[in-house]
Amino acid sequence: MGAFDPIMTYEKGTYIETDTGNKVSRKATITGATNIILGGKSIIQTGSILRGDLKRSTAGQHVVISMGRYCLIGEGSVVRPPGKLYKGAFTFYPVRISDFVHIGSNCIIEAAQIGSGVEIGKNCIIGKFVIVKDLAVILPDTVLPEGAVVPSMSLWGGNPGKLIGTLPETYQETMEKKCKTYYQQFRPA
Amino acid sequence: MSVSYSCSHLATPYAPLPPSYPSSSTAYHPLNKLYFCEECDATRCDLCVGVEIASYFCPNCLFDVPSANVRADKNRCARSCFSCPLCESSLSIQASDQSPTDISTIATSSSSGQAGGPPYTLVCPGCKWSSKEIGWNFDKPTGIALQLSKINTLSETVQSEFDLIKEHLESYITHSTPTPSAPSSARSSRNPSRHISNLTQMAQKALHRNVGGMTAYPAAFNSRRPNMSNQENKENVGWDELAEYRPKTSWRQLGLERGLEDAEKMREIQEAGPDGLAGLDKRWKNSWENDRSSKAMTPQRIPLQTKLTKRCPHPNCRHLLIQPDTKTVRMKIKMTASNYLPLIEIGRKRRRLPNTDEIEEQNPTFTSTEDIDCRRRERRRTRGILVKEEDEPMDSTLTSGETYSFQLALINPLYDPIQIRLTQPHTPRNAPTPKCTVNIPTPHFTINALKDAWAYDEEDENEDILMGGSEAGLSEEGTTTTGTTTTANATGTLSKKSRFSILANTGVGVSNKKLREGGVEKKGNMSKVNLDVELSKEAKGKIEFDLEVRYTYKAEDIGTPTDKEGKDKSSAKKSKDEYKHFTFWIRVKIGQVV
Amino acid sequence: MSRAAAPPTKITSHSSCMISQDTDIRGDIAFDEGTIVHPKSSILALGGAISFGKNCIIEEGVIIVNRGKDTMKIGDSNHFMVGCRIESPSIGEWNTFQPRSTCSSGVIISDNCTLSAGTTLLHSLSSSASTSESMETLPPCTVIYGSNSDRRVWDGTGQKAGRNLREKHLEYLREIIPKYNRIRPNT
Repeated sequence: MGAFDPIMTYEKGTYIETDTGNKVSRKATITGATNIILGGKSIIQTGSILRGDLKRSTAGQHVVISMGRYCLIGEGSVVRPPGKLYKGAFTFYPVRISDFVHIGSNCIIEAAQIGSGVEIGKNCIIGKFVIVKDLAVILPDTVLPEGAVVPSMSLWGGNPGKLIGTLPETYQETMEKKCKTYYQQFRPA
Repeated sequence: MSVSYSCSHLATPYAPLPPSYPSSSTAYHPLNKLYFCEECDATRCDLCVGVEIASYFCPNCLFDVPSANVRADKNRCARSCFSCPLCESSLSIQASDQSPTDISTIATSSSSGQAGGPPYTLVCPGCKWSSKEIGWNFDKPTGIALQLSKINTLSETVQSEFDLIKEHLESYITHSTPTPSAPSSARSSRNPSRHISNLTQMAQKALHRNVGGMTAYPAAFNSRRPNMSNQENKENVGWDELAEYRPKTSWRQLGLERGLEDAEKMREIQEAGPDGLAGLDKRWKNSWENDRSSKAMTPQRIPLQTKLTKRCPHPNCRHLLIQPDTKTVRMKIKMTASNYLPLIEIGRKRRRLPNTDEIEEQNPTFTSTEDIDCRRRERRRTRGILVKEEDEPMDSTLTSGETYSFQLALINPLYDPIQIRLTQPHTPRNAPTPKCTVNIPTPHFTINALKDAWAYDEEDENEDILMGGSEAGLSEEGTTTTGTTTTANATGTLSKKSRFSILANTGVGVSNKKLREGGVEKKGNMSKVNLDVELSKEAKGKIEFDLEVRYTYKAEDIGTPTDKEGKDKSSAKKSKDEYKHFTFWIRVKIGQVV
Repeated sequence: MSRAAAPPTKITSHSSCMISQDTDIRGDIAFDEGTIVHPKSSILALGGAISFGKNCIIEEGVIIVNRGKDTMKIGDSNHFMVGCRIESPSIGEWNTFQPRSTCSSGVIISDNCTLSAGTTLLHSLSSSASTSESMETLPPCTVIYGSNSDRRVWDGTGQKAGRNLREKHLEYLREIIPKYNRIRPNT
């Protein structure tokens, strides 16, 4: 964890760095940017899509996608708010992502909530209104069906996703360290 | 490529058998799965800790089930959580479509369709299975399990049989709970499951029973038996005879012996094809033997999950190592080994090429200072023998007969600097020859103290600036360092480090020392040392070796603000500067020879 | 592409369609009433044309390809969710293609089918394995699910609610998509 992690470089200028240390690829598709909040030191990689335009039907300003610190949206991943009928009218609901969340490459995320310290492997599909509590691991290629609930300290995998194990008690420290290291190693060439 | 740590379970710490003994594999665990008992000053693992259930919860609705209800609920969620009989996803509750009007009216009237009403059904979001298929409909969208239990009780015979067994065993269990005046209470009171030991006694007795036709050693049995019963009488536990259980109805009457019915079933299964037979993985979660065809599968209530309390297994200790909090993810007590033992990682694999041509060395093809530095360092380390090395990806396969060099990184979790001694454990006599020999050029070195989190974060932020700015310093520094970016970085952090260590009043002496003490690369609370591994010509398969790591830490005086180690306290009273040792063993897996 | 002369791009769309500018649309493509195309999707008529029915939703990352000579006909009210890939020569109505489902060119899809997330629909081996040339038609209300892409028949529970949801969804998208995305001018 950390000591021999290779430095990941990107060509200078391909990523925009914000005041709070977010690194956002210029080649990411971000619609409705005003409805998206990034907590700082989060990375949004090339080819990812953030659908901030799919907001609630009620009038006024709404946060559509919120993300905490030290998060990662991997290459080609899509984050999109889930939608359903509420009192007869269709509306989208926000996606809330906490701190230390790593989403691997080519994932499709339509979750309602992703707690802190969650690792989602590559090629996962997280269905509409899924709730992932704090501290969980979702293995690569997992498909979580609509409305699934992932409790804390659990390990999920498969299609459809199943609870397949529990995480070691040290997971929180491991994951936070990993996220911080990743952020530090991800720098311009 | 992995490093795992030894756990000697309850025994006094010893070097586990070398990797050539497959049985030694249970002695090693990854560091993040190990616990540490401060009282025993020893590592503990999941194989040896005592485990108790702290709380039960449903993984779907996350309801905390009171432990009193768990047994009655048969360890499954008693609310509305069911798993799909086909794909095991958790089912959702859906209101039925509005009264049987045709679709066109639905489309026009906006109010209908959204509200829905009874009857409610369970539907699977994954495979669109619906409980209508098996005729399950519910009046209310809540408390499905309760509604179901009213509709769908177990068949009369099964329930009464179950009750009878329960009654039969319960009388036994309540009867044999330990009496308060039990002798040798010091030991028995610590044992939470007294009746379990009674069960083992029962089993023992059953084993010693005379077996018909086995008359070879009747004397031995007879001589032992009175002895045993005497002992048990003394212990005052008194183990009762478990009366023979007589079922209400015979399985023959129940018709488990099905005959023609079975033949009929077989024919059905054959007709239905492979999809008609429910998979074993779906069936074995059912409590009862039931129909094998997939169309007969019913949703199961979702099994509860638990949070576990873990205790030191030592009979005289039994301290809590892990105590979870029911409400949050925090742990009330969390004694994990990663806070006590240095984290060890292996990386930077290089293969040593045997050709020692000096021509190439003089050839000015390698103009970069890095390469030359690398060579110089290499030459110095191998005392004049010219060797060439090249980096290889970590996951590449190894070749037998070759020599590889690695770097071992050790990260100090303590707020004090520690000294490390790396040695190779003694191998037992007659052990098979190891697949590789390991050479540790620098077995003794120190690791700087861990700093406070805030000091750490700040350093991270400054790192980027240093990366850009320290380019000039690299060339002159290069003669004494490897010339890698990490050391260039470390020169910059040195001044900061000393400043912080003065502030924090820890490890002043060590952090101001030179950064490199003979082949040790240092950065923050991490030290990297080199390791040469020579594979034997016959080496095949998994290549791993063991190392003995002894670390010495200063048990400082009580004034140290960072002293959170309980084990330090006892020694701190005696003298100001006392050094303590801790030894553990690691197994390093370096790859495969194909 | 080495294949000679891809047909020129010709988009025919009804005035009520909403086709995002940020899409990859090639070849002869027709959209009927009320179809919505999200940004970052690809509709490629490399061979014959592709025609969409009414009220389809095509989400981001969707790839719909027609390599054959004949027109690919897609019926009404189909929902193509994020990242699905469709090569089926003919699709009926009210089908749902969940995220990252794949549909090969050997299968004709009828009506009310669902391809669950991450599944792949291939020509069924059991039906006519020997004649790979022949097209297989997926019966109505088929559900493809799970890691093995198993098939089963849906009993139609919640059909009305599902249709109602899709209609409301379209309605809302029509309102919100043009606010944040550039839409192709009608042709």
